[in-house]
Amino acid sequence: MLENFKYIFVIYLKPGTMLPTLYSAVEQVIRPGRGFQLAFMIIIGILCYLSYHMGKRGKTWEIRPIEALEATYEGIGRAAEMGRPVMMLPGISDLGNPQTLAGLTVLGEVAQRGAEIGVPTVTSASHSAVVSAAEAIIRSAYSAAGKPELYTPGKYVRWFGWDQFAYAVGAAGHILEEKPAMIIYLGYFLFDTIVDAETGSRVGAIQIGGTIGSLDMIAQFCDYILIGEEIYAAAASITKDKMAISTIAGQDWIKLIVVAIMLLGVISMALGSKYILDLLGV
Amino acid sequence: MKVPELKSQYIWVFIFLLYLVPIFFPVGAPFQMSEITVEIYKYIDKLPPGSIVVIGGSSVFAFDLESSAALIPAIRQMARRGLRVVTAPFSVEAAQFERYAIDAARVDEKYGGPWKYGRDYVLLPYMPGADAAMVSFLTDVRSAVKTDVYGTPLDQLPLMKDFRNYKDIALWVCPHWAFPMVVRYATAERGIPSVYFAQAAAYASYTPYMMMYPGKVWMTNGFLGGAQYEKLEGMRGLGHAAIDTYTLVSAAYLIFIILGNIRMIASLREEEGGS
Amino acid sequence: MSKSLIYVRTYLVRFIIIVGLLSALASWYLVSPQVDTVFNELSIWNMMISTFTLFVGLLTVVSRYVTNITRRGAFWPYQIYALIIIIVWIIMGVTVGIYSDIYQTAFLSTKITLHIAILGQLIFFMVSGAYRVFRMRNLRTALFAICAASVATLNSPWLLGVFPEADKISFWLLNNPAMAGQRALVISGAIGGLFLGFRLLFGLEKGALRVTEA
Repeated sequence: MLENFKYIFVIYLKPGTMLPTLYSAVEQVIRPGRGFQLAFMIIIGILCYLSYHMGKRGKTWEIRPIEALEATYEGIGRAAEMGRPVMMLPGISDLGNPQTLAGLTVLGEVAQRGAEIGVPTVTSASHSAVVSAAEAIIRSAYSAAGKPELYTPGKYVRWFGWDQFAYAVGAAGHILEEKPAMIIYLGYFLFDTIVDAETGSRVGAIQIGGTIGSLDMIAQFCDYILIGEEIYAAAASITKDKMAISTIAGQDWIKLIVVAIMLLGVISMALGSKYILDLLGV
Repeated sequence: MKVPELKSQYIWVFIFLLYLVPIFFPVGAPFQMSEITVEIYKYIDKLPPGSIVVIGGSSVFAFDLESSAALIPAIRQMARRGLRVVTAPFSVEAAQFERYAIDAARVDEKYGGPWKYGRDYVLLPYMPGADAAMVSFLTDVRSAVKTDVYGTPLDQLPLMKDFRNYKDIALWVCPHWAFPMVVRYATAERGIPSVYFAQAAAYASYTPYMMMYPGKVWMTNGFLGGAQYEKLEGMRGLGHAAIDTYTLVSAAYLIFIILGNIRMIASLREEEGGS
Repeated sequence: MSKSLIYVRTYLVRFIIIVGLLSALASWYLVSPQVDTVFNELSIWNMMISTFTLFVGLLTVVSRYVTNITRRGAFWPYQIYALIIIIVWIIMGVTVGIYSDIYQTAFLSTKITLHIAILGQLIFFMVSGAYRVFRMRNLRTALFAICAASVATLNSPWLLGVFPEADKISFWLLNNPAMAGQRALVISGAIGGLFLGFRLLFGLEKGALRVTEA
């Protein structure tokens, strides 16, 4: 790799050749079409740290009220009144999927709030690692609520298999058996939502859904939805942690930069220039 | 006028009847031919005999069944034109689906067809690693896989002697959901034309690929695309069988949306009348 | 929790993630055969570990089921059935091979048939859901209902026979407003996922996935 740096050490000082020479050096090191991506990744890292640092320094941001999150709190109260559990489905993916992690974060908070007022939270998963994580999370929730004696191992988490439809049918059966007052779908879902959400509506549950990909199906069946990155914002704001919320601000800054690039791209294409496309490596 | 709220069970019974009716009384619903499907058909028809077509990708068998409506007539066309096929599955069920599709096309010599295994088509086993496996397969087939599904070393198969890397691929046919992987590594990076026999739900998401790579990427649309391809190939299969039900149920979908809104208006009037 | 375990759970995990992350990023962005070699090696290790976790997952499920069966907990007969089926399929796959005719037939006759049955069942739920949900109470729900009805019907054979240009309208709807919305979701989801990863990596996560001290 060092031989690729030869251009950096041999910079011609003739006017007009320095920049092209430096550009050649960069091209030798960075894969073609990915230079902008790398720069953007670095900018994301810097802005993430900056937002965290500003949060640490005392800067606070407010997340706008998320209707689905407010409904979650009301749903737990409704479950307590009706004497029915709350069900939370973290999706059909494994722990490597950020949507599943967001779902598990919400599971922890919902389980803890439920444990405080005597509402059990049940869940199911399709990957065994998520089953283990969910068990640990619910156990911790009962401990954090000061009621570790109420936790019964194996009672709250079910496993229905890795297959999308095996999980869908299993979760539907679970819904019919438990008759939850509220069902939260937060994670990675595909067509299994159709089966589970229709079953949820038959038992009269309030349904709150959030995912990135199959939002159309969640929107068709759920009463409240979390659109796109609202699932991550909900996962951050439900914990009421200022540092996590400050990173949400960093996310918004990145989105503004993305929107600016999009606008520049549209304008440049309209003017007949493909400069932005070439810069993005498309 | 009082409009009752329909129970879900009544709707389901009605849809079930719509499923049953075409089985006993085929409607023979007409359908339009799509220009893109015709383009795909003509492109495959123009490939020189002996060209290698890869059928591969990654997905779940049950979803891919919708693609089989177009894939099966396409395989028949390839057999008729003397093309050669290699399957490249990047998921376990893809391997089983591709084998099923070739079997269902009845092109093997055991069914009286023109194809002989090893000479005209080869079934490769599941290659784990998703994107990495695909890049490895395109760069050097033998680095990704050493034998076929039956354990025969690749060099003992006549077809595989002519297939070393992506340069030997004339066309990539993907009947699986994970088409973006194919577009990215096969078409965008290596210029291999690709055809996606899409599921209707996936078609909605992936049509921009046709705009991004005109003349290199084509897609058919679910069972309708399958029926179109079957018509071009002169056969009646799953696509034709599904079109009748597709026609009736899509009309029912619209009717129930209208009924739902009628019920909503009626209930609002009842509330106004009551208050 | 002892301090050494905390160090393992936090710093060792972060070190591993940073090494993997840097090698993946370096291999993606930089021209370096040495980094590519490291990344390919780590990818192979990742595949091996994933295969290992498959067995760990299987053991987890078996141990949970056996515990429940011995205690005669809820649904224990179904769990016996599930365990028997798991064992039978593993033995069949190992002995006859997953590409054999027997395995293929068994797979097509059982799992695929059930899968397709559930897939076919979806339309029942979608139609009853459409009846219940697509009601035009306000502008937002009206737009939602009109878009759903449009996309569902503009591709249908009966309408295309009468109005052949219908699929072009559907094409436009899917490729412009719908695609723009979908891309917005994907972009924002990707950015959100990145930041969630940063929060986990740097221990900022205070929710259920936090590093526990006790």
